[in-house]
Amino acid sequence: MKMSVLLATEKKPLVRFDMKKCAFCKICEFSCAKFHYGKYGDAISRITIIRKSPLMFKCLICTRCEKRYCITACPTKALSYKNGNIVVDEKLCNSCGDCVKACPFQGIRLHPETKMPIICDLCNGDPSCVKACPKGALSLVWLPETRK
Amino acid sequence: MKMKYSGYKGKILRINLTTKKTSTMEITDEFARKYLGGNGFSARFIFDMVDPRIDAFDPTNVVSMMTGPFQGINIPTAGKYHMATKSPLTNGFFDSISGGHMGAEIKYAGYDGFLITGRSDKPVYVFVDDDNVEFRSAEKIWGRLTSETQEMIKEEIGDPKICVSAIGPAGENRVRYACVITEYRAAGRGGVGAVMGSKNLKAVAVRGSGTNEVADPEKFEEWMKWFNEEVKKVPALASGLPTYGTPVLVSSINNMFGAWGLGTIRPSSSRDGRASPGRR
Repeated sequence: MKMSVLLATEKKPLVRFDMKKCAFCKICEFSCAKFHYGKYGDAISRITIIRKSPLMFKCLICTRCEKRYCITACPTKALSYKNGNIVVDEKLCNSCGDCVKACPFQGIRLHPETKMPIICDLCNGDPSCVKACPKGALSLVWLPETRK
Repeated sequence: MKMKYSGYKGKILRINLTTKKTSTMEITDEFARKYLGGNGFSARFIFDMVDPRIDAFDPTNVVSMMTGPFQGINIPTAGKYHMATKSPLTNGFFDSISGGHMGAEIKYAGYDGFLITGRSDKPVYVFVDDDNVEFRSAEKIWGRLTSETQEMIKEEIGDPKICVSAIGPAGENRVRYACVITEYRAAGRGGVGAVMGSKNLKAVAVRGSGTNEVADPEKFEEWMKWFNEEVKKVPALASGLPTYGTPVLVSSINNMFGAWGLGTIRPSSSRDGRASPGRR
């Protein structure tokens, strides 16, 4: 975990998705929900795979983009960028859902019960989706950070 | 009502297309233990609800979509849902099991299955969003192929994540072996698509925001690891089926039936999924 925090100050983490290897089993979603909440469900998963055509899949997850639309869209300034992750301050958040609408990658959604935004946090530096993928379609890569 | 077993939600949704009304039916622990799910539930409900003398295209015929207790958790080889009805092809009980994520989505919506009766006067599709059930007009998408239908419904609702089971032109025109397609997987053979078409029901779309739990997560994880390793030891499951699909079973079943002295099919090219040159 410490290693990843050190790396995140210089580089940007990204969960890379290889469409050709994906089998659309959604085990990544199960493992994500299991790690964070101990339950299974695709509404509480921070990664989502959708199917566009028989062999075309799309992975919806926080990409740590350079523009950070969600942070600028938040009216109460509850979101911030810390150590490679978008962090939610649950005291400031008023569950308006503006960040969900602002994200062009559809990487944010509201938790169905607490109504707090849930965003990929890389499972403390060791993503469970990457570990769980039986086809090796997901991988964690570090990209050079262009904006601090 | 909370059930003893966490694999069941304890609720069956009954959808009446004639009156456009829905109601829920509770199931008990005993019922779940006796009939398990999927095929058992469907057979019991259809036995109770359908008069055997009716025509399959009668409005009182029931289309049942049922799930089992393994849905919505990551048990390998269990991601299926079950469709049953009185078949227009054979006039008997018919069931088909289809892949796709419909079963998990039904569980997340808080149900164990749907029972669809009646006949709508206009083409509709049903959208189940947890407790809200909407009957939406399907006049725009009537006549479309299943892949187009699924995309149009996802666009209309505005969520790419919902799961849609739809019929195509075959089901609308009551072809007696029409399929119901979820994503790119089919509930085929006996004509459940034709029965849906006779009810003027184009599609069933489901979005669930619920969760599933297992009773003992640690033991479950341990068992899952063991199971995944065991699956990889079987050559048909490890490499045969993922590469070639169901047709890979043709040759082995052929050999098995030949050894029993039952009927076999002649080996021909591409019939076992491998496109090997064979004699006719």
